[in-house]
Amino acid sequence: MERTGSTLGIGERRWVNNMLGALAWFLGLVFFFPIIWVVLSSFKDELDAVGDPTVVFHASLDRYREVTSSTPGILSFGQAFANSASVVLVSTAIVLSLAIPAAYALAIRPVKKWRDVLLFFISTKFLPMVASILPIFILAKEFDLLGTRTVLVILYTAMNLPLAVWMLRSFFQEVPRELIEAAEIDGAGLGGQLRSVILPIAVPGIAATALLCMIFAWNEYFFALQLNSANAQTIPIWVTTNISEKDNFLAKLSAASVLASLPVVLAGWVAQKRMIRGLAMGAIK
Amino acid sequence: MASVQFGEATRLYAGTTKPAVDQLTLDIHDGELLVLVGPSGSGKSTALRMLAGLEPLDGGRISIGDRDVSQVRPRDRDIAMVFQNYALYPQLTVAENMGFALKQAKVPKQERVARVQEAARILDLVPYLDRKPKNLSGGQRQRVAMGRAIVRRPQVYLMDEPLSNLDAKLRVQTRTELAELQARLAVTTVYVTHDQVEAMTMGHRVAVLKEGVLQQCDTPGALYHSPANLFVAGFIGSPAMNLVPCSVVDGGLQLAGGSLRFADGGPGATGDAVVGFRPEAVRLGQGPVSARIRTIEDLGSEAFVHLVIEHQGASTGIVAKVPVPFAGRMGDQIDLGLEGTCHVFDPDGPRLASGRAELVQL
Repeated sequence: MERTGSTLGIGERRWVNNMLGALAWFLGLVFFFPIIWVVLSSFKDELDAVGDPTVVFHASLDRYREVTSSTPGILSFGQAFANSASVVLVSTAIVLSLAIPAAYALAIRPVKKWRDVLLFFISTKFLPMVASILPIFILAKEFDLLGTRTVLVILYTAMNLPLAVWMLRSFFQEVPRELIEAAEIDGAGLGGQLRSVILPIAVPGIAATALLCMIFAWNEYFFALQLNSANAQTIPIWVTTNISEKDNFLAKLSAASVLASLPVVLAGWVAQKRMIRGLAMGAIK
Repeated sequence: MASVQFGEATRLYAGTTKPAVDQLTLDIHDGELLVLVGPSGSGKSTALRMLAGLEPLDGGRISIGDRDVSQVRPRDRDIAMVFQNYALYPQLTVAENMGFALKQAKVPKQERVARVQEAARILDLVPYLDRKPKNLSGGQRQRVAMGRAIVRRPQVYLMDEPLSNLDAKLRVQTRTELAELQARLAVTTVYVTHDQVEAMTMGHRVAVLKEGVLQQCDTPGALYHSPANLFVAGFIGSPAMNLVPCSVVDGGLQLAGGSLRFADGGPGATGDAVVGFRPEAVRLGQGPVSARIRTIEDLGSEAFVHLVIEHQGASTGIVAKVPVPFAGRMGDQIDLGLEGTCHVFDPDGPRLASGRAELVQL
């Protein structure tokens, strides 16, 4: 028999460990169940979707075809996807270009009163979104921005900026001070230090920050609904256009929901490794 | 290559009242390897960082060559620094690390490659040029950090405890190599360490700092044989100098049951003093004082014997360096004498007198 090391820690009992493992799996499945339900429903036809759940059903991609086929006068999937993608990418790019210098000023060469500045940044997130919608709406109307992608870019930038500054600051703080000093002595200016030392080391952190900003912007529903009822609607709004008052719509809505979640899930899956490294960077030396 | 001058250079950290470096005045000669040594908090690293331009001056000035660099940015000072943890750029290869400064200075690629190759040859790094720092051993990383400094051909090398992350054996070996390399390149070098053995073995001259104040700057031999004050006497040498509080009565010093007689008169003053003598000046087996052996450290080539004598009504520890084999055992009573250089210090620090002395019966 091959010798293997004990997987039990001192004082641990195997049956207790097994029970805890089973409990963890059970809880995981409980949380995952609604998602499985939505994914399964999206492959059913409308009648099956509202009927008693069955293990065996006739699976088809018809609902996906229905929700992605464009009907004149109704927001198409392609249009909504393009709107979302442009708003998300542009706002995230602006967030990063503003947050990187801000994080530098807060982490590497702290400005005076940097603690107050940091608190101010995060305090902007304390305000409920609903409380700010009236002034935002009036301003948007005044500047003729209602129903445009521009207003969403501005709002999503403002929404994600505090978070991005906080995250990037903690990642920048992990860059060893000696490296920056070595680059300075080696003749690199501010730009050179940022380009060749700080950014390469903080890449996982920057990737994690960018991904979170993209996810928050992609999922945002409230501002999109209030300010953008017309022709620049984003994916979350498009999902709700599949709710109908006359017929059964559960299967169609499920298909739309799956399509809306797919980019985020894919991005998260692709970036998983980097993101975990990035998010863990603050924790371990 | 250039000389370096500190002129009453002072650094006061924000929020503190006591300077980390207090009016440091120091002339470092062209091509010299000067070691700054002191316990932690002595300001040795701060002094080096002031020379690097990483710490601003709160008073005084620093010049490199004939140029006052007090207000010059680090990147314009033409210096290279080796950091304690090496500070290698993790995403760059060994070659890119070593060529980084040349690239910043816009040296043409051909020359850059040639200079990196040359430095790599000197440091035995040629097989590793394409590796990333994380795939190197500690000793190799240390050499890359050295290489990064060498390719620059700067006016001054600054080294901040560059060997303290190496294991003991490699440290001793690298110490020798580094001293050889410095002598070969003949570039003015300022080297910071807390290890007085490193300071004594490497430095052409050694500057001893304590609480931001320069205590003495001299050759290793002079520091050892003529320490300027109590602090230097106790800091330099391993095991440390024996320092025993005594009273001077009519130019004579009473040590336990003996009297210390100087060949050339000794200290003239009367009052409290501290007498200092190296472990090698202690003679065991004959002498006027009775001592008890506490422990024996046998190093093979020699032995350090830790003794206790009754002096001024209290037990006082004395260390003796004796040839091996040493016959005594722990707990034995043994006669103790003194023969060699003794120093007399004012209890406040400064050295009052030195000379050959002998311990005789009262």
